[in-house]
Amino acid sequence: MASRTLEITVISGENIQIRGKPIKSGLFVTVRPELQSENGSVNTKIDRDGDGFPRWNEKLVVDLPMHAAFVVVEVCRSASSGRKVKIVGTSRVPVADFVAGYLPESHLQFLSYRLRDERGERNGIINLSVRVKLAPGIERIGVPVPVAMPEGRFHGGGVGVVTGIPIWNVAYRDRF
Amino acid sequence: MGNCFSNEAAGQSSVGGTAFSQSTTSNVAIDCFLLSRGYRGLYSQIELSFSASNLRDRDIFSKSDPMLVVYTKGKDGTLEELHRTEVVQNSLNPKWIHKLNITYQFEVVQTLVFFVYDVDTQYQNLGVKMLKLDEQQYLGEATCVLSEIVTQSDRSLILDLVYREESTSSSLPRLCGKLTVHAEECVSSKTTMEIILRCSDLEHKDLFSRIDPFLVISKFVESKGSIPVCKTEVIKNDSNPTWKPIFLNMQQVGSKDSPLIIECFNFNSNGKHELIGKVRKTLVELEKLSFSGEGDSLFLLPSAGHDYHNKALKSQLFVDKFSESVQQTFLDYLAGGYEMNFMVAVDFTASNGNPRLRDSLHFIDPSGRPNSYQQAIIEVGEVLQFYDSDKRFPAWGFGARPIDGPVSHCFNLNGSSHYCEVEGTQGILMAYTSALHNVSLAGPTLFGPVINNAALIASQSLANGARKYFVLLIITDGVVTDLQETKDALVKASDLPLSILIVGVGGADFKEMEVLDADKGERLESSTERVASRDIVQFVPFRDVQANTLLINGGVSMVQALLAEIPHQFLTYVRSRDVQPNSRSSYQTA
Repeated sequence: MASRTLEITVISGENIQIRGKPIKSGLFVTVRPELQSENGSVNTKIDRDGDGFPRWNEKLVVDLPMHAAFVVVEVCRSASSGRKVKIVGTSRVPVADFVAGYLPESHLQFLSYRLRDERGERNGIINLSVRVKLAPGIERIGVPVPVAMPEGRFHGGGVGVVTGIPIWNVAYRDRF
Repeated sequence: MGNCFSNEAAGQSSVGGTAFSQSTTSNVAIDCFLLSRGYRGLYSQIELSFSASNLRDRDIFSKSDPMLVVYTKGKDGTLEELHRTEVVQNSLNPKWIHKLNITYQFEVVQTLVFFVYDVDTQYQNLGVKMLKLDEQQYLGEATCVLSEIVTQSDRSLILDLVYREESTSSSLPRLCGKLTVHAEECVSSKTTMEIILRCSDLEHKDLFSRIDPFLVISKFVESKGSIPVCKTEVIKNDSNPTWKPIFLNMQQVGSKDSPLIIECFNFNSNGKHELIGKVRKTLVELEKLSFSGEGDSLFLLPSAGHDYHNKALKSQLFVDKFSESVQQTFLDYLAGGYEMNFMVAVDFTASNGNPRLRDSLHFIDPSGRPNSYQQAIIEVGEVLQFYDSDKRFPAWGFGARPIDGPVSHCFNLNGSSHYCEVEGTQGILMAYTSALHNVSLAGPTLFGPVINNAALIASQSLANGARKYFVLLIITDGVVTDLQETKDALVKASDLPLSILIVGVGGADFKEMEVLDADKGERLESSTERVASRDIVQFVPFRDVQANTLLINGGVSMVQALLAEIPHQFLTYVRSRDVQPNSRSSYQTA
């Protein structure tokens, strides 16, 4: 199955609460491409002393199938006596945000998303950085090279016409 | 905002630098107020050293004995003497030893004027300061701006010395030698301390109400009392609080032995924070506390009528972490070749008023007095131009109908349909004036297209590996019409090397615009629930520049306070992405 390798660093979370109070510790994050079962997910370690602002700073590597449109990021509270694992906040990260954004997908990009809890209520923010590594054997059509333009002249502006379409997107547009 | 920079990744807000703001975020108005009281944001101490070559020979039997005098030139042209070097005997190629310590401020155009004199032998026994300059022989002069020196890769600037003759004012001044000025950043600017502070048993007069403590660290200066340097966040309802790490730059503090006053306040939403206790420590003493793990008692000045000794409280201060690190500074990145690229977008919506009428914001005064748009362009362009090597600035207008076309929300100010750049600040002003004649004002006020265009330029530059940081200045008279589209554009652009300064001119109520500036509210969120990874927008309402300088002592204008934030935003960007001053900005292929 054609896929890409996604390196996603889960950096930190902000204002994550349970029943109105910041969660002191015990949160971890799972990442998986959508359409995949829970077994395909990857976890971070548990944050111990974030106090509402958990920090993980952990890099996870996920296989991202070509047809996946979202990566699901879930912040969970770890199981302890009498409690099972509970999903405290979820975010669906559109793959297009880092594949078809301003920067090429192999560039390290910093992204942040709103988390929503099981009832759909807003519950904090998750901060991530992502970078796509191409699977070996896949050829990159349209290797990005600096577009040869006369120095200092940008073909932008004008009435609504943007001519600078990033080349690196062309290959993937053809695939989708 | 604020001076305690956090080099942590996006999302962790940096600790504000204001002493008594009512919330834990700072804002531009308070920063201005503090600036006028001696509080400094991001600045660096630089040491300038001087040498000259090929000086004129004035003495008959021996070579000149040159001395250098350095002045700073104010906006009105007045010269103020800063420094005199020593006299070097008998040399036409002197290397002076006495160096000048000067504070580099990004947001100010610091013009320096140099005069070289030949000091007559009869005066050479006097101290240099006693010399009357009009009794010495003038050898030549030169002038430059401090930013020109620090943006050179070797931090040295070679200037031609010119000799101005008063009698023949029509002749060109003669060249007479060269002056080399070299800048070194003082090492103290690079050292940063990370400190985690904790308090125990904080007491409150009213035993039953809760304590919301925060700390303010001030530097004690003999003549001026205490100047706030840093403050922590407010922790709610905790009498044994541990605050988030504080980052102190050595030059804010002075030295490791400088006395610091650490005060613990109880936050009160009406602004009258109650002092719980304070303690006086140097950095060395804090370091010792962190090793020993012991605490030190806080003190409280007693109210009148009691004994005059400071009452030692049960509350104690602990230092949980004290670590020192050397960081690359803004000047390091400049010396490594980083450039600031200025871009400008001007609002041409009809709400500005008919440009031919005197009360229009776009009225070009025949007397030459600049209108608000021109003032903002000059004030920002004047500072930023030195940081751009080719001085070509993209300039756009929005909200107008060019002569033969529909309303455009991003048209090139120079009238071209191929390229958007103009040459220098003068180029922007000329393009602006001619655009006024060639377009008809329309509307609505949309920022989206302009921001997207600027973001595209920044992203192309980044992908090409260029070491450039972009600053977009948007000057507008009105509130943006489609706030959500603007937020979407800003969120998408938040991961790029881009800062956006929005200056609001005219008398409109800009309250709604403040929501774009994350300092005054929450992080921006797009319609797809993506959140901005950095706060890239600063907004300030621009009153007439005369009124601005009256309002704030020391001639610090609101726009300068905006500009002062840029080095901080730049450093947050490069540090969180681990970009080193000398490396190519990474464009990594898989």
